[in-house]
Amino acid sequence: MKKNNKNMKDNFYRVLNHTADVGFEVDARDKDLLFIRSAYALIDLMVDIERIEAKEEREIKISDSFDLESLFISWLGEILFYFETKGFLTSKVKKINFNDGGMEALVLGERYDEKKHPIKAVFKAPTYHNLKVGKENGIWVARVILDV
Amino acid sequence: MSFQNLEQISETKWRLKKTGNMRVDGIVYTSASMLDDITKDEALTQVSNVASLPGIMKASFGMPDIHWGYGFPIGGVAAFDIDSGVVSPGGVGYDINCGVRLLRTDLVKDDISKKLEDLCAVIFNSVPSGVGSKRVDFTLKDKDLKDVLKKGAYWAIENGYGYDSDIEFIEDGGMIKGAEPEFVSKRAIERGSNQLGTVGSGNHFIEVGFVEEIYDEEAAEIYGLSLNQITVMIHSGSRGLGYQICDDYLKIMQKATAKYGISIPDRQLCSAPIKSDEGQRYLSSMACAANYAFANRQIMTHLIRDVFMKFFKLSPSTLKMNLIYDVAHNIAKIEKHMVDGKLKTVCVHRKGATRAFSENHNEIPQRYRKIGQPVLIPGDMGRCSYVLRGSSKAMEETFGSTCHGAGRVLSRNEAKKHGRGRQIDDELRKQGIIVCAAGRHTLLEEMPSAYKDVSQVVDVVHNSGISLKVAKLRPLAVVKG
Repeated sequence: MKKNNKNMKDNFYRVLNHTADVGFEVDARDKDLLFIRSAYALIDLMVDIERIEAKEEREIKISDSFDLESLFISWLGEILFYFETKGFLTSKVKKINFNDGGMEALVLGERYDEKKHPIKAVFKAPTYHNLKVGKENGIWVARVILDV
Repeated sequence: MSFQNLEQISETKWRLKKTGNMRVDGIVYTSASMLDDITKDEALTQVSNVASLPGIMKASFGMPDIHWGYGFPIGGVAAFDIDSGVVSPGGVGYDINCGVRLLRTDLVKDDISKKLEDLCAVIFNSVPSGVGSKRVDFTLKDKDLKDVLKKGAYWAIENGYGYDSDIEFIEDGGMIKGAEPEFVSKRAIERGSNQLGTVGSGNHFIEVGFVEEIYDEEAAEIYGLSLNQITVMIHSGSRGLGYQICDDYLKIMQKATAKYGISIPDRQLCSAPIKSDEGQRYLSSMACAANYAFANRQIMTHLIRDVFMKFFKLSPSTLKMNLIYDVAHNIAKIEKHMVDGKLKTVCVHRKGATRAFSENHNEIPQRYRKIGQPVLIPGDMGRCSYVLRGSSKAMEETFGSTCHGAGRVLSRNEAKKHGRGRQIDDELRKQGIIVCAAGRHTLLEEMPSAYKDVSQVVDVVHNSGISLKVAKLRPLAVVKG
């Protein structure tokens, strides 16, 4: 998978080229930050995250995940679900706690406004294809392809 | 990427010989000139990965529009034995029953050529499209939505969206049997409640075009196509409801794959035996999403007919805006096919591929039995699209399947780079094509050069005989999401 370094944004994610879809790669010192940065990367690929104000709170709860990868996919799926069904754009993760088979998080953001938040891309779902979530050489890494 | 086990076996066919964990060969329909594009990414690895799944029969197929997807390649076909085989949500994709339908009219090019801008704008304003497009005029109650999931296009017609005669000209009569809404999650229902009758975004579109060339006079006449005639093509799928069903079942299948001890080279290929509880529940939920997609395209058909009647001040009997056919591009189907001289029941996964049933097949409309089902192949918005017909060769070789479109050749980022500083809509206007798009990014990502030349793709399937050319359509006005 080629890395498109020109698309680096504040060094917190890199866009991965894929023929039909779009992917990103994130690294972090720990799992919490990896999940947080991945949510930010997902949102920033859709709209400019810096234009989203942290006005409203939403709670996200995930349980019964098969493993870490499934939990990660569910996490990104929740962020997309809130955007599609409630028009809610996440810009900040206030709290994140992992538990047995799941996680709880408190996210901040605001309602999508087409003038304020011009759309750059939109995704159907995060996929398991070539998915990586875990430690590589002591650093937490996530690599994911999103279905456009 | 080099594939040492790849060998050419005819002018249009390559074999990826069985190695490692592959249970069958890969067979890829392509041409020497398109082979480079296929080998440059992971599409062939995905053909080989699919070939390793339990119960796969004959081969893992790649159509000439094949490109790198997730799990299965896009342009992939694989059939699995009903008893020993598996069903995989990744072999259908997120946009379950993403598909295409084609409408004919009694209008000709000269009737509309000076009104294209206005017509395009009216369609754009009448059919919701773009990111998060939703209907503001109605949100379905759960009970009604569950009826949609069971009855598909039939529900739409019962509720006044279309003609009774439309049903016959939709794959599976627009209603796949065995759909059980009780297996569909609340989230999927929520996502589907206000998106029925919307185009969506990405590569979905409504395209007004005309018949530029006819290759098979008899078939064209039977389908109701004639030179210079105005047609409308609709490309959309099951929207958020389908994505959520796929997502829900990928989670279930991750567990099922471990439970049934299925070895997979890519987690997106997670599967369950077709006859297992998980497999049956997936097929039932997939049928719900497929039916939603049929209803979605049916409602859009109604909206477009209404636009045309009002815009041209014509009655339905003068406009004759009839449905030629509606085909699914992303689907898994239980079908009967001859394998090694025996009639077998199989689960055919078509991921970015089209059913291409031949003449005399009892599942195609009576009117088309003499020539085979229409196969609708959209190209890109600047070149052309095709109407093909199914063939006996497809029944013999590919479980009655063929290609589904042009197939991407540039990634979305590459397309944006190529399009930097360009006005794609102005370029298309100079070619006589009007485009109304909800988002500028879509225009760049979907620019014509991001796709293979659909004519080359169609020539491969035609020359190999797995479907045959009937007519070429040229776009005039395109509504993009």
